[in-house]
Amino acid sequence: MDFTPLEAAHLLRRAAARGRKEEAEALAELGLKGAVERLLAPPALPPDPELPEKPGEAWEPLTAWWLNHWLTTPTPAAERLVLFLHGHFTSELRKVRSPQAMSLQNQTFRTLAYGSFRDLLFAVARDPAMLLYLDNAQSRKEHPNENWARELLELFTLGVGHYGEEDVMAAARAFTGYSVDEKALKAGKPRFLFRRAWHDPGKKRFLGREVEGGDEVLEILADHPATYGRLARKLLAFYFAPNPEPALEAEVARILKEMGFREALAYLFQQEAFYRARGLLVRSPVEHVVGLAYAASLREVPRAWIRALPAMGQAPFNPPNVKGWEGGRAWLGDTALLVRLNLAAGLKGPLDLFVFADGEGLEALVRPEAQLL
Amino acid sequence: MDRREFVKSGLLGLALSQAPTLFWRTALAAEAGEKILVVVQLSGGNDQLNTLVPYRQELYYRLRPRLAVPAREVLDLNGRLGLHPALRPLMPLYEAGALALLPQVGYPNPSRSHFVSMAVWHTADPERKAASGWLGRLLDQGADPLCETYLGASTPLALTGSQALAPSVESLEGFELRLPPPLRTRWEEALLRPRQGEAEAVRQAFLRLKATLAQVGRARGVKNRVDYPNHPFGRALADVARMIAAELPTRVFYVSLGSFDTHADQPKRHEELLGLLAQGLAAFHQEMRLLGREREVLVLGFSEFGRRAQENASYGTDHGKGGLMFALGPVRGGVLGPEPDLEDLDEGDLRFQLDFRAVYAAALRFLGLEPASILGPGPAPIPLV
Repeated sequence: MDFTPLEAAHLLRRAAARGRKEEAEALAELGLKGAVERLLAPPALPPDPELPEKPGEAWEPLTAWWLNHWLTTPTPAAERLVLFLHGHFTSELRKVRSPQAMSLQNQTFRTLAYGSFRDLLFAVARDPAMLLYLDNAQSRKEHPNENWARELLELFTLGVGHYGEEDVMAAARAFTGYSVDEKALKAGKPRFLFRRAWHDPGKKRFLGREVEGGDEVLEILADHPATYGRLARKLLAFYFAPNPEPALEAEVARILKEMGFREALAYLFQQEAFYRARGLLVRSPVEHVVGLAYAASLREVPRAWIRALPAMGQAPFNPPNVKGWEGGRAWLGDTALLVRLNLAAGLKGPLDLFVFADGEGLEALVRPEAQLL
Repeated sequence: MDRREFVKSGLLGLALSQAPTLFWRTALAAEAGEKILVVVQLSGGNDQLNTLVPYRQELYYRLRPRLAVPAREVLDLNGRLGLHPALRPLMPLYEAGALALLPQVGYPNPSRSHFVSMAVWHTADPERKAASGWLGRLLDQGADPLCETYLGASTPLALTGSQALAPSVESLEGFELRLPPPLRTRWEEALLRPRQGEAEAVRQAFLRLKATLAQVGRARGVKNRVDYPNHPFGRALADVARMIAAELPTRVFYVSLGSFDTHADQPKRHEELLGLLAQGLAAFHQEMRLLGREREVLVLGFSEFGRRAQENASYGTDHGKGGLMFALGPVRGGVLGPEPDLEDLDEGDLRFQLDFRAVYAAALRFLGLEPASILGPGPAPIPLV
């Protein structure tokens, strides 16, 4: 397979949603394997954000913190995976009410992005934002709260059809006591706290096995094939195409389970089929503003663009619901596209659209193709 | 597209369609007095028991020692059931017979998953096989997508057909293309050439946007005659009223309010949401009266499920089954259904008593459509209107 700057541009778009012509050329010189290695280097971490105390004022600075990091980091591929994980393990600032907990969750996704799903799952089950978002922080043995347990099974791991209502109840009982340190939260330093007095220590039957605590539930889920089938489908819909070949899906599921996200992406990015899959993904609003700001060589994402994100259908840290963003053609709503087009109206100066839109000049931005990855 | 063109394209659709509906005849005949449906989605699972409170049942207070609405606070409806106090703005409408409350609506084999249940309500298919929305199927029958509008960023499944998709308009004010003229020309030129795959999907979306821009421009000049709550839901209803006042050919509007997913700290959040709902609906009904359209506009409200009868330990409630629907406008007012039987629960949830498709069927009949053409063979329409 040829790996020319055109293929490298495709790789940059899909892996990082960001790039310019000289980078595509430099990647092409490294060859396919070298290019993939460079893109999937260990993630650079952003400094801790400075955030206002009032959660009502925090959305814009929090979003600017992440997207400006995405715009300037030497490892933008990690940021696109963070976006994937944010849409998978969702939490909403408007419910969590702690900007620090939201930034911590975002940082956790980054530090664990390229590792195993199991480790990530264990971290998410102790993540303060998640525990607050899905109400587990308050779950006690007297009446276990089912919110986290239900979404853990339905959305984060197995998917509908692989468990029953009694498994939801058993998991809810197992996770009682997985909570958040209230004092630390108030001080802006959110951390996990296991409240033994709230925990139901009885035996529970979960997916045909006897368990006691939440970690045993997580082990079963992290070992279950349905978890990886579901995850592989979602990952491929995000990086490759909405309906991939079953063989590719099975292979990605296997690599995900045995090795984790980095190896799964490295495998996908070296498949010939990946380079034939052009223009099959609709670019999300976040990818649009970061990619465009980068193409315009801006040093930060303009505030007006960040403020336009909710109307474009994607407010980071505030997904529409626990299922995250629908993606694909759901980005093509009238309002969303209108706001996208109006962004182009405010642009001036030189644009390098080689990676962003396969072209040059503003008019490339208003073509249907410019809305695709 | 003006009304004449809209009707003409509709007639063309009728000529080509194998299964003509009454829709076009209505569109043609009722220039001034078209029937309009406004669907209100309460996302997240609204708690029926704390909305329409069975305040004479002692068991209600036993199941919800901390969460029950105190009997002295409810707004009594019939000596047995009362509304949550935040719904006070709806009381005059209830007393005037313009508000119908339908308890314990649901479907067979209910799911407690938000997404499965919401998909069932959107597709009107409890078998979970249909891929198109119930109102989207109207578009597939040849109706112009501009006969439906979603007030929000991205069109829900309910308004998505297998071919067409209703437009989504977040707000009338911001809905304007600000490209400089040369770039706007380039945009329009780029839309002339058909593509394949996702690029074609984007082109189609751009074409729809172009049509919606022309349409919405007409409503922007219209001002509201009443005040709405300053909240996305209130503003969405205000924009619906402006589009109705501008006599756009839109026959179905869809708005949403949420999230009602009150697993924890329910009382404050629920009160706030019900307050927004009641204030918004009361303002909207008032504006329809001022426009002389209150007999022609039906508002239909639903949520994907109700919540568990018993409160949980985090001052909230978990996902349940049967839930409350409501209808506002030219309806048979009152509580249309029995008081909940808290002795006879289904795994701790209110049993569903009325299939939601019977309510959808009544709404479709109100629009002048044959329900079976959209819903297939299913429960007969209830006498709602």
